[in-house]
Amino acid sequence: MKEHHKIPELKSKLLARYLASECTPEESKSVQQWLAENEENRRLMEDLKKIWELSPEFKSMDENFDVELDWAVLQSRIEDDCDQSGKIFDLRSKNRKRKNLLFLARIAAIFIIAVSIGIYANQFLTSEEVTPEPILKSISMKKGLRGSMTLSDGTKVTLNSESKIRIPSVFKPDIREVYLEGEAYFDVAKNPNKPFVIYTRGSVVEVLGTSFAIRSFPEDNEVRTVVEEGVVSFRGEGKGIDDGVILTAGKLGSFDIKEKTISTQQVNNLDLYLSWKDGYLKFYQAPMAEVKRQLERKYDITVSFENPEVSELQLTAEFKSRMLENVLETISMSLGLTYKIERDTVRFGISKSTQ
Amino acid sequence: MLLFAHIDNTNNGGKEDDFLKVRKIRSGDKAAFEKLFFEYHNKLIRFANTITKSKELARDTVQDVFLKIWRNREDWELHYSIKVYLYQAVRNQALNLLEKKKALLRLKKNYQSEVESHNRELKQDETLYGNLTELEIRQLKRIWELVEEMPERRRISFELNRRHGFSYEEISKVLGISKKTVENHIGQAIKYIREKISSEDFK
Repeated sequence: MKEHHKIPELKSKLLARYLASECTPEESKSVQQWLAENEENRRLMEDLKKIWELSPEFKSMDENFDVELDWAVLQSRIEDDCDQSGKIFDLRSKNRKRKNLLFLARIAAIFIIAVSIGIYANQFLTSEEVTPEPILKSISMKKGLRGSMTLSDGTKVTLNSESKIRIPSVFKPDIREVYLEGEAYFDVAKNPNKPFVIYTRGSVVEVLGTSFAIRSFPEDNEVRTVVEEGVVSFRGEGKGIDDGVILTAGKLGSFDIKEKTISTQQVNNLDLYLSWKDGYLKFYQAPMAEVKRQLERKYDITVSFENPEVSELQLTAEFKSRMLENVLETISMSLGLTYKIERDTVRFGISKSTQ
Repeated sequence: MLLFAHIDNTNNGGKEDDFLKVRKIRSGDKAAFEKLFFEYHNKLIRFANTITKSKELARDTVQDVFLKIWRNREDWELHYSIKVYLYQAVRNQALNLLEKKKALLRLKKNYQSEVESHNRELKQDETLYGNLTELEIRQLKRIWELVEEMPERRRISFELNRRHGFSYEEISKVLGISKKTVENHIGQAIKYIREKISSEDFK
């Protein structure tokens, strides 16, 4: 491609059609004639073809974007359609200038949510001091979805299905605070000067840099925190570190939402509590009622039992496959059940041969 | 190397399928909408990114386009094909957001630095090109650097044909120009690239 040749004879349009094989027979002929004229034309066409064929190979920008996460964000934007900016909530704002109706309505709506999950009530009613206004981004995962994200401080969060996390667009200078509903796994970036604090259903989990999972679904009576690595303080909201418990690696803390008490236990198989983040289900002597909840959440299906006895069975199983059919097959085999799939519903029954 | 790596699959059968999909979404079929999102999400972000030169803005663009489709689904009229509709909408919204952002920032520096980092990215990732010679890789990168210098419609015509498998007719629908003009853009683009590359020192 060293020498420089102009192409006055071959019009741009014809050239484009020729390269894309869209020429009429007559046009093809005229190009052939032009090529036959001299070696120079032929070499020139070779260069052009080379560029034409090479250009689609460009892959530097073929980056993959997390479609599940973006779908989840789109879902929450669709749901929050009354909110103009969509994914951004304005919380605890003290900017009086914005006291218009829409803003009040929004605050009222958020206030109701906040009180019902018992998280913000305190800050809301006692917000006298002037703090910078945190804008909370809300990210939620629907049934059947699971997503990971990296926060601005480097902390990795994996959010389970039917779970929601609220994160300030900018963390405060002295503390990293997030708000959780549902289940999440945290791999907190170490920063001893800036504790990472999670608020969920009246309890507080505070860490300096470690990995652990929290489960706090609305139907649960407790908030559960399992620590994989490092040290975590787990306590009721408004309590000091001394009033709570310190969880180390392998420890499980359960916060009773009614009684506001915390109990701890040693966990031998951490994977039982963490495998969901990699998309696998694991059960150890789990009641079928719990299995049902997890299946429904993960696969966005409805599970029902044809015989009431099924709910009393206990399952111990480790699934190597994420495919629903394989999972159902394994459950049925190990408990002597049958299953039927009708649209979005799976029905478990007791197998005739074992009855 | 594949001679015609992109196969145009928007034949008439495909289009009928498109009208069916649109009818479903118009009637509020969320599953059909979800499928559409998953099918086009990545491709559209990549396309938007060539306009916005910012992944975040490209992501926002695609979010906005799908949000608008769902909000106004009942009035969704398809004139050609879903693919053409989506790319057209993404281009419009990307240009929109870009304008807004520029107006908002009025900090030329900020924008400039992002463009620079975008261009730098084109120069990395040698591992992606195992099947090409070193000379071909350098030429390939130069080709797309040169494309960046072209006027917007020419650049997008070339981009859509060579990297997104669009026919000239589809491009003409996306850009709202005649098919002949698209052909002219493509021909001009390839001549320009060839002139530049042959005048430069590629051994």
